[in-house]
Amino acid sequence: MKKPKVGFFEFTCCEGCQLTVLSLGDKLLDLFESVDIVNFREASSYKGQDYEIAFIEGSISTSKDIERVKEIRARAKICVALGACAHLGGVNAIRNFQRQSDVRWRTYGDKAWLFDSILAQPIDAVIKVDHVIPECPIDKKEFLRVTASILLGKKPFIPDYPVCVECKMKGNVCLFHKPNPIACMGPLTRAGCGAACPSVGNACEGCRGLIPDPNLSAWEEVLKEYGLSIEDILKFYHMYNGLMGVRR
Amino acid sequence: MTIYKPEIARINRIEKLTKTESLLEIELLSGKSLGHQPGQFVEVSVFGVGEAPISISSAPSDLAPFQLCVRVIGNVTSALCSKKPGDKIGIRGPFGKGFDLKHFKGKDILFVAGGLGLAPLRSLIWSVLKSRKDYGKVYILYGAKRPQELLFKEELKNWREREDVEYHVTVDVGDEKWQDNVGVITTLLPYIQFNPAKTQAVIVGPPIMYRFVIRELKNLGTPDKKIWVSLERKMKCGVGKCGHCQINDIYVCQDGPVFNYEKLKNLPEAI
Amino acid sequence: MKNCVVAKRELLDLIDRRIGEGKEVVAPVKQENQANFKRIKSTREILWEGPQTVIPPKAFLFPQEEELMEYEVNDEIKVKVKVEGKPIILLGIHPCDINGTALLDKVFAENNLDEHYLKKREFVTIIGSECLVPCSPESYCYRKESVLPLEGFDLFLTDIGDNFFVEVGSKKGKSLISEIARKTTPSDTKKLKKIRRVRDNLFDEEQRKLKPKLEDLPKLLRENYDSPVWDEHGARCFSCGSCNMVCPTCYCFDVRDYMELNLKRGTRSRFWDGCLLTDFTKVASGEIFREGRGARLRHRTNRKDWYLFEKWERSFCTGCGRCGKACLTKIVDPLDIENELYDRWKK
Ligand SMILES: Cc1cc2nc3c(=O)[nH]c(=O)nc-3n(C[C@H](O)[C@H](O)[C@H](O)COP(=O)(O)OP(=O)(O)OC[C@H]3O[C@@H](n4cnc5c(N)ncnc54)[C@H](O)[C@@H]3O)c2cc1C
Ligand code: SF4
Ligand code: SF4
Ligand code: SF4
Ligand code: SF4
Ligand code: SF4
Ligand code: FES
Repeated sequence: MKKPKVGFFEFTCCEGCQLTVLSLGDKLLDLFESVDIVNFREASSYKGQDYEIAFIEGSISTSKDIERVKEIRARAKICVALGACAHLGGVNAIRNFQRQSDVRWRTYGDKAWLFDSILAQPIDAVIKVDHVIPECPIDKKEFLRVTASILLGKKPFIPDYPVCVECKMKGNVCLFHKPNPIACMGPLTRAGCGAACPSVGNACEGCRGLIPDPNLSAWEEVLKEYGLSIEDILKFYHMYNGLMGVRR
Repeated sequence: MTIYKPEIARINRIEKLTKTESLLEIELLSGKSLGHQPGQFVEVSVFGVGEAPISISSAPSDLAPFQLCVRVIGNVTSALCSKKPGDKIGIRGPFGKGFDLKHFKGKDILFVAGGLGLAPLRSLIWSVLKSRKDYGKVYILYGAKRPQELLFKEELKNWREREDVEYHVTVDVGDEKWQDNVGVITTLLPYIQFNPAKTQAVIVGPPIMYRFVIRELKNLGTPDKKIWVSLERKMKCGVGKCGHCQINDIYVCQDGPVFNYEKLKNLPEAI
Repeated sequence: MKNCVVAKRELLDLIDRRIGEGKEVVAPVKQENQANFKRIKSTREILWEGPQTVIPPKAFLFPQEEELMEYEVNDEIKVKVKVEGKPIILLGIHPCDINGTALLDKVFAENNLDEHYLKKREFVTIIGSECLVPCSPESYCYRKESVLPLEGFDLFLTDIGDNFFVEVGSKKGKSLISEIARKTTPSDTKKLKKIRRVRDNLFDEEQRKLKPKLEDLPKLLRENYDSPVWDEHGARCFSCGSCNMVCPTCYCFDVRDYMELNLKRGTRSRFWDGCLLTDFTKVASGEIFREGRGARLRHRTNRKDWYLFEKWERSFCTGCGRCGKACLTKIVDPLDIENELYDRWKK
């Protein structure tokens, strides 16, 4: 079988997701055996122009980005959003809730006027995305499974159920039930990370995005019971799901 | 051997019936006949992709090959339909309760098939037609969305031409060449004069079809216990464990997929 | 099988010796303000009383993720089924969980034997221990005839002071303690009876009350199939499945295939699934057969106290209280729902 050609591309992000791929260890060799990587800035300087599968990392935040991502779409058969930034706008979308000039100023100092910074957007705001590998950064096991699925021509399995499922499977004491309760976004957030954050005692901040049918009124009820205000609730939504706004 | 282990089978032949449906002829490598009842299903494995429940579309037979009619809709079904003759897949089953011919012997039979519902019904139709003299009158009503979505076109022609079958067909939307009925399946009922007291009515089609057809049949005087349906539900195990196919307290994979309406009408989740 | 008594110290020493020999012993241990089953290094770690484990012992017989088979796809397809078990002693299992496990034993052995479960079960030894005080404010085992186990244990211990009164449930259990077992004396039996009388009073006083009669639950649920209670509760459901995951008698599963990158080797595994999850009945066309959150909540409740209750002549809710604890909006607990249905029904 001919190995499919694969490119990795990054936009505005920390490149943590590509680092995750590079730290796959043994499995990275398997990856190199199954696909031809023609563009991977972190791994090699070679910039191939010819690829079937594009893994795209980072959010779209300049008009130049828009041109570039459209170009990638035009060349690739399959586009995969890699990580929370590409999927949701990610942490980058927090700035959508601040004044744009402030953002530019803080990021670029007195060179701010040189950059035309637009709203940070997930890539599917600009191009059609075939598959998503959520999370910040991506999960190694999921990356491998999704990649194998794509190679097999199969729609990858990404859960539509919430993080609580995996949190319970792990036997975690729910953060809401600890002696010092912590508010957690698990009941609204798409699972697949193995409840990474609650398992180490931290709140789920929703980096995998909302499930398709989040029950926001139930969540508000729970937070109120724990004495949290509407402002606290809003802060939660913005962390990773900024662009979705508060859907009510 | 466990209840979840598929037997390896070979695809002998694949025939594309429509844009989305293909007929697969399959044979277990063991050479054994499946030994199924019409209306039963198998769990088909494409290794690496998954498993899907598919009705056996051919009539029971002592010979090893059997047929499945598969509509491309997701992972397993696409993978199946893009296989080639000689490719290997996995089969578990036959599972579930099919049509018990003893309820039909000597009676008139009204078949009502909507869309892909013809796939499982075909197994029963050919069982009946194979020993035609054991049954009374046979009516076949078949509906599809569009003419190009009709399945088994050769067989439809055969049914239309046979003297011992009364066959009517309809489509929701016709085209220039279409000369038969246009409209939902219930609009075919006025074409036939069947005796509700003597007729077993068998309905297989998409979930929404049941409500309308059953209502019409009841209006025409068909008693509940003479109505038979085959239900579709999500299935994973096929053997009464995984819980996905449950309708109230029954398991479709065990107690069905074929049900007598007398039993179903008390299950609010059924239809 | 004969009952017997063993000195507490001797039994614990015996278990510790087994642990020393490398035997896997799993018991409830404290985890923050709750508990969990863990492999223990010493019987001193065991939490004999107090809060329930977050997840029930079903995880050792029907794991969260279980490989059913692996396969190799070349010109030929080779399938290797994985039916495996390893010896584990589950120690300090409470009556509700013994009963829950006994119910799983029935369903996995019914009609089509599920060898994957049964093989694990064969290797597990269950040493139960009686609860003399209620484990949590959520529990109500006493109302569900689950404060004592009926079957499904190898040994069942009751603390009667310096000794354990031991009910022997199997040959496996008997041989485990044969070297330290002593005949029961009339005074042991008297102590046991007295302890149980006190316990019954305490539980009757402290545990939440079930207003309808236990045997009337199937009827209550049948007659209230269309009650507005389902949608009222359902409106506050996250469809988070926590109630399914933590329940000792929930056993639904999903099955998924995973292929390695080489597209040659793969596995088929099953995963805990739950009827409260939105996609549980979703088919490829996008149709969801049990669509409303209320309808899903009703299905779960009906399964516990109607469908499976009638089929097996025993409630499939042991009253362990885990779901009531886990549910953030407090809508799922069968006892709460049943009491509410009962109150409204009578009016
Ligand atoms: C008793 C029975 C008989 C059937 N007979 C036929 C037939 O003769 N021909 C045919 O083309 N189709 C038939 N179906 C429908 C077929 O099973 C589904 O189209 C198929 O499972 C879709 O799987 P997929 O992997 O292609 O879809 P995906 O969308 O990739 O996966 C859908 C998931 O839902 C699961 N699923 C389980 N049961 C169903 C179901 N009933 N419908 C949809 N998804 C389901 C699949 O296993 C899979 O995990 C039948 C279904 C049942 C229950
Ligand atoms: S800690 Fe968070 S993810 Fe875990 S069960 Fe509680 S709410 Fe759900
Ligand atoms: S627990 Fe929540 S925030 Fe943490 S990795 Fe998972 S989805 Fe992201
Ligand atoms: S339904 Fe709730 S209380 Fe009953 S056994 Fe399950 S988890 Fe325990
Ligand atoms: S529910 Fe009852 S039997 Fe179970 S641990 Fe609590 S007190 Fe013990
Ligand atoms: S009933 Fe409660 S625990 Fe169960 S799915 Fe709904 S919110 Fe989650
Ligand atoms: S398909 Fe698993 S129980 Fe019916």
